[in-house]
Amino acid sequence: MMTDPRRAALYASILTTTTSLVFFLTGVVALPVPLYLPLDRRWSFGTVAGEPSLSMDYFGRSLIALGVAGIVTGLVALAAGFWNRDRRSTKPEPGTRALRLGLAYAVTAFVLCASLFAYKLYGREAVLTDLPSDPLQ
Amino acid sequence: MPARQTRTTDGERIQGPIDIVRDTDIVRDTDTTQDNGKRGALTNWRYSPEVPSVFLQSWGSLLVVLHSLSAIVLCGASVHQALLAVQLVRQRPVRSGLLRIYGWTTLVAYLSTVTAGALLYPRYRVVIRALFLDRHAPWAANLFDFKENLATIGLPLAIGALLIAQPLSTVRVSTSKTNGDALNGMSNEAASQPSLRVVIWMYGVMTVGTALVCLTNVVAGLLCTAVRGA
Repeated sequence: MMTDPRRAALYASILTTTTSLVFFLTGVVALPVPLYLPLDRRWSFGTVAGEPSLSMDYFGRSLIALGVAGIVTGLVALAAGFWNRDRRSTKPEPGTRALRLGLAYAVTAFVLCASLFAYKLYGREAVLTDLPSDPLQ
Repeated sequence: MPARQTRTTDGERIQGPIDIVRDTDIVRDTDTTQDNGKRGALTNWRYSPEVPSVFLQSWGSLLVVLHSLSAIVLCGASVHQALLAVQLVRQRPVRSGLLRIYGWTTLVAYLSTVTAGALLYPRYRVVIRALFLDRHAPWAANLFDFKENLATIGLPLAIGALLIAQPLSTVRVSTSKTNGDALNGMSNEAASQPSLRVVIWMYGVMTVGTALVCLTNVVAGLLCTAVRGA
């Protein structure tokens, strides 16, 4: 665990911002993501539009957003560590300006992403899935 | 079993409680979306044996209980954590141990809720949404999807709150005693450092955000459940 609260706050804001931005991206661009096909009980990779059967992209979008955010935050932490080692000095703390920017970016990205999905889902027309019909009919 | 009939004290005959027989071949669900000449008749979508079973379908009830219990713990912990953060923002002393305890409890409960929900999701997608909500209450399906998306983008808030809480709880510049309880708080000098003030504000935003996401999702989940449950 980190001992410096400023550094932890900066990484927390990077994690939040990146997750929201990548998740936002998956909402506006038809990116190929891992899809789960519950009726076939198998995984596939692609877009929902390309799958004829009932498919779920929520897992894939979430995994990609959280995974990319984790990798980006880890890389930033690693880079900061290398930078500090090369400088052979005491670790410089993130400044007030950087922290304020980090907070602003995190809040903006989160609100933007939540608003996008609220907009997309409000009034969405249901697409009835072609499921096996009732044998009793 | 035939419905029983009973009599009131004045002798009036009333219908007794009806025994509900669950017969998966006969019990049907009213389908009002199609004018198939059987309006009012019953269409068996939910229990059609032709619909293949999905992952963990038979574990649905247990997973719903686990999901609900985790959500209850999550709501309590996240709201308490947010209240602690508000105290810090107001430069009031708080118990440093509570920052860590609520941070860990919130994150573990969040992960547990999300995991149980993810295991339930295939069952929901077919049995609840495709076979019922999309046909009868599409608004509930949309609300449910919004809740799921909100849960994903809310997870980093819970992780971030814990990341900040760990080092923040060790910033012990002064220790005061109030009513016999040790309160490990930051001195005004430390708390008034501009960068540390921003960190405390960030902690406040992360914790209040986590609590809002949790409360929103609980309300949304209850509304979706109430479509058939109420």
